[in-house]
Amino acid sequence: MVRALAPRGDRRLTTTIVFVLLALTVTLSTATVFGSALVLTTHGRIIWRQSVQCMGTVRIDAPAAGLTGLPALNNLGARSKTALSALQTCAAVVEHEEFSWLLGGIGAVLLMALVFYLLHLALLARLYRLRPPHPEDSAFLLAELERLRVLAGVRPLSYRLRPFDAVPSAFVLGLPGKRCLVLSGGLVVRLVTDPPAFRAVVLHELSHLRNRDIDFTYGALALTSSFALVAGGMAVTFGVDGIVNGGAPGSEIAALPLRVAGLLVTVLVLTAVLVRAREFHADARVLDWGEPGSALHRVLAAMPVPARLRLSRVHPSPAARLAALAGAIPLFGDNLAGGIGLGLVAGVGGFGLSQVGFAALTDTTAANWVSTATGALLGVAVVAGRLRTAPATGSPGAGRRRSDWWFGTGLSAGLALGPLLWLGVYSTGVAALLMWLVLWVPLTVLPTGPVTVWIIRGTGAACAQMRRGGIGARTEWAVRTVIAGAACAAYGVVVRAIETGFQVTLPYEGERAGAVASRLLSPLTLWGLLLEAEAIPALLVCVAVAVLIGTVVLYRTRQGGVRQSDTVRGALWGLTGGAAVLLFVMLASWEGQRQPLLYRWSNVSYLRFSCMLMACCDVGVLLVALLAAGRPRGALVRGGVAALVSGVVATTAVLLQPFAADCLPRIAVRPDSPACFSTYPTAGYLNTTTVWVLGASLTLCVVMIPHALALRRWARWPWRRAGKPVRRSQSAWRAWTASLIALGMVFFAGRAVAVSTLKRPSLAGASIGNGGWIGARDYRLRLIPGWFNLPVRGNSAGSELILRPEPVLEDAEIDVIRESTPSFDAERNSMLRRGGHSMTIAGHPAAALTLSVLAGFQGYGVLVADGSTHLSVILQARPDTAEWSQAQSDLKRLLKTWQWRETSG
Amino acid sequence: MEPDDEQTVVQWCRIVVAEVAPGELPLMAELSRAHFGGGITMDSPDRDALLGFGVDAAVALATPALLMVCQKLWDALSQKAAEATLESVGTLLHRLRRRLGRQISQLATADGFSPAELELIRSTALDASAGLGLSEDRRRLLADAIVGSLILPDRPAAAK
Repeated sequence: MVRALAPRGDRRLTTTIVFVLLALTVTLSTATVFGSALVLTTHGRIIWRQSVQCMGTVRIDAPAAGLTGLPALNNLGARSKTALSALQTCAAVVEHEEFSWLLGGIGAVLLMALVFYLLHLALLARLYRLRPPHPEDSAFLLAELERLRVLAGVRPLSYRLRPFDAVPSAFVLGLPGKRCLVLSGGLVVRLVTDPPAFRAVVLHELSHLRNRDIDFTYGALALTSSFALVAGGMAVTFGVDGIVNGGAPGSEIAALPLRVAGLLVTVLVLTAVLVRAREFHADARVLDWGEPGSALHRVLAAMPVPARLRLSRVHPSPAARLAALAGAIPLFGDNLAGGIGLGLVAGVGGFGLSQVGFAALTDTTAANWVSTATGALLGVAVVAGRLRTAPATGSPGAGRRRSDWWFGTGLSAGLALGPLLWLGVYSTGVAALLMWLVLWVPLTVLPTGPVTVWIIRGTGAACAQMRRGGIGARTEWAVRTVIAGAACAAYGVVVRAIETGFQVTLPYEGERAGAVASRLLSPLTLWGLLLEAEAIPALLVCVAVAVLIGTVVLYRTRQGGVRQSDTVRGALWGLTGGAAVLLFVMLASWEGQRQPLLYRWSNVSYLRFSCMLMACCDVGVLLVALLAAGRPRGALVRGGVAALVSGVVATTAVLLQPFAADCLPRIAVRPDSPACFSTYPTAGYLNTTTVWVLGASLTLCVVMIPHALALRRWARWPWRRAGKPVRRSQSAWRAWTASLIALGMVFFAGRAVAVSTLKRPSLAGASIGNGGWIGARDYRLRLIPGWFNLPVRGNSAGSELILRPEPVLEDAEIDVIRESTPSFDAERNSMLRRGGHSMTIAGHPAAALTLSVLAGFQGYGVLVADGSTHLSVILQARPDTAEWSQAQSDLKRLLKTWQWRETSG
Repeated sequence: MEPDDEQTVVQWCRIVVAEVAPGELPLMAELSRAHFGGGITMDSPDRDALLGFGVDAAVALATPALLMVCQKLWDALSQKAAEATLESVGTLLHRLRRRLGRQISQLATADGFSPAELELIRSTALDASAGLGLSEDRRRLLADAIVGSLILPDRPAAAK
């Protein structure tokens, strides 16, 4: 029994994470509540109007700060600097007021929480009528308590009695160095009537002390109480004030109490999770002490079944505690409610943190890591919670499969709904919000729900192998760390994807329900949520790495290596599957090439196309590995080898795809452009694709091994029950048929999505003609895939052409600016003096110069003579990154396509 | 009730508790203080304390009932002595005070009571416990325990 429980380090870790989540949630929730409340005040409304005015009157269209070297750029920068300065001055007052208000609110809540925590001993002593034990009357009692304290290894502490409580119970409290153990009257009696039960209860309390539960638990309670008082009080005050005095729209008045209620429920759920987890850990430690705590099972079994819906109950039910002692249920629950609770708190806290991160950090890449931090907390919480159950449940497929799915579904649903409490969506129509909820939650749960299931299964598989292999403690910790790390990475991706999707799909103010449904159900959104989010591949890679260590390596070690026959068979299977994958890649390429060039120029199309490729590859490789592993002996090895071969073939196919595609038009379809895919994706893109396809495919198969074996058992079961011999050929035939149907569905579904979406030109409004040419009155250049031309109407900066890559890569930009002064010669000479070089662009003299690096940006400027004027082509991007080198390469390719047009005037 | 009488009643009750419910001795001081301070009010039985052990079934404490019976018994004996219905009752009270004024560990059978005196105490105790809602068996048990406390052998270990 004791072996079924997790090592002691896990016990503190999980609840520490929950406490951090709680503190985070309370702090950020306070900020959002105070932010909402500020708008309801008269002063706040003035500030808000001022803020809107600032944003509306000042237009910023600046190059990256610090880019200098060209007069045109300097002029642009100077104009922008003035505008920026005006905005900063205008917004400074607003920001200061808002910041002070938020800081005051957070300070009030934290200060009150600190006071509650410091006073909890005095408050509880009064509430529970605590009394010091009489030295003479309690001599026997005190002697026994001291004996147990020494046994538990707890520092000296004081004892108090609750003489007016006839229920046999106890609890601990107190500040560091002043810990106190309180015994109820009912428990004191048990020292004589049932000494083993008395010892079990007292040891449970001493376990709380050993587990250092007091500070976190009472800290959590203090945070929750202070938040409830401050935020609740504010909601009531402003609600009443709004109703009595008016001044604010009804929706805004109602929004604050609603938001406070939602956040309060979240905080309470988190506190309950924390408190209950602590109880599980305390029970577990009692058993570590052997005989003195041996009556714990009996005591728990004899406890009455509590009322199910009792809000004041802070302990899990006795049945749940007994199950936890047996290692059969994980921390944080294993059902829908547990998943929703954990997901909700992570959603609220994580999204709030992301908002703060994006507001505080100028570097969006760094801000993205904030989501990763939330994901890491979630990953550790889930994995550590499950680690204690995995050894007890045995094989990863044992037992609670359905509950895993429910837990994963709840977790994703919680993550999807958590940010709702952060943003002010109450001004949107009820119908629109309901429509969004109905569609958004399933759309989020479908692709991300399995993430949790995979992590749980992977954790279980690795733990089962570890137990079977009897590995050492250090190796076990290493494997545990790898599993947790992989889960953290996977959840990081999931959290980021959900947060991004949330912001993109949330109804606008005044948007109708039909429009919301249309937007959410558009193929682009669906495809993006399902595949572009990369959650699934990321998850599979991460989890599979852990399982790879836990399963394959250990298995090979214990089984004495790989049989050659298995390797050969696996390779044959892999080659067969690889051929199928190659076929699908070719089909996908052909499908992609059929689209008119105009549509192919859209980066969205590329993204979709690449996702389709990856989906085809992964599904193909997965099925090959499933079929290979779904055979008798050597299934593990054969499946792994098949996955390896298929993955390699698939990767090669994807790598060769541009070249293959280049040939397709000549043999199949009339091309709209002879260039075809010769300018197809960048090196970085290909590298990414390669990594995903190979890594995801390989490891996906390893993860699927247990399921393949289960599938095999399922396929054979009807014959076995009928007492007939297994007909393998028929079983294989069924599996092949199913796999082909599945593959076909995936392919045609992908095709349908791609075709239907591509009918809508995603570059509507851009000045792109067929062939990808863009430009101004006297020149034109040809866009390369992935770059967009942004309309420049009303651009005060003087740019006549702005190009940007895919919207997610906003750090790169190419501007074309026309200037007449100073003269081209003076400008070129200035550039040459500073290290530039001369060149020609389509027969016109030109000069190029790498611009200085400042404020995190690097520039590359090209000056082109054009009669009495000259054109400055300026690239700015983040230096020393793949994006920078790629963008520079793209600029050179753009310049090669430069053409001059004859102008009439 | 006079403080001296309260002290005597508490001490008497303590002796009985040490015999019939020794586990409740650590609670004796607080329960008796509450009893004479306005009555014992027990906490709600389903209150789940933070970092506690959970909500178990409440146990029935004997001390509150014993305190009640001993007080009523003492009051009844005092009333009889005041009314002079029995001349020997005054003497009995005096001897009880002297005996119960000692520590438990100092108790001995030297100050023995006559069978008639013990019977008087027992019957009065039965009458005193009549209105407390106790079962007949329990009332008899308490009365026997109270009488038994007066004929205790010299057994210091009982207190521990």
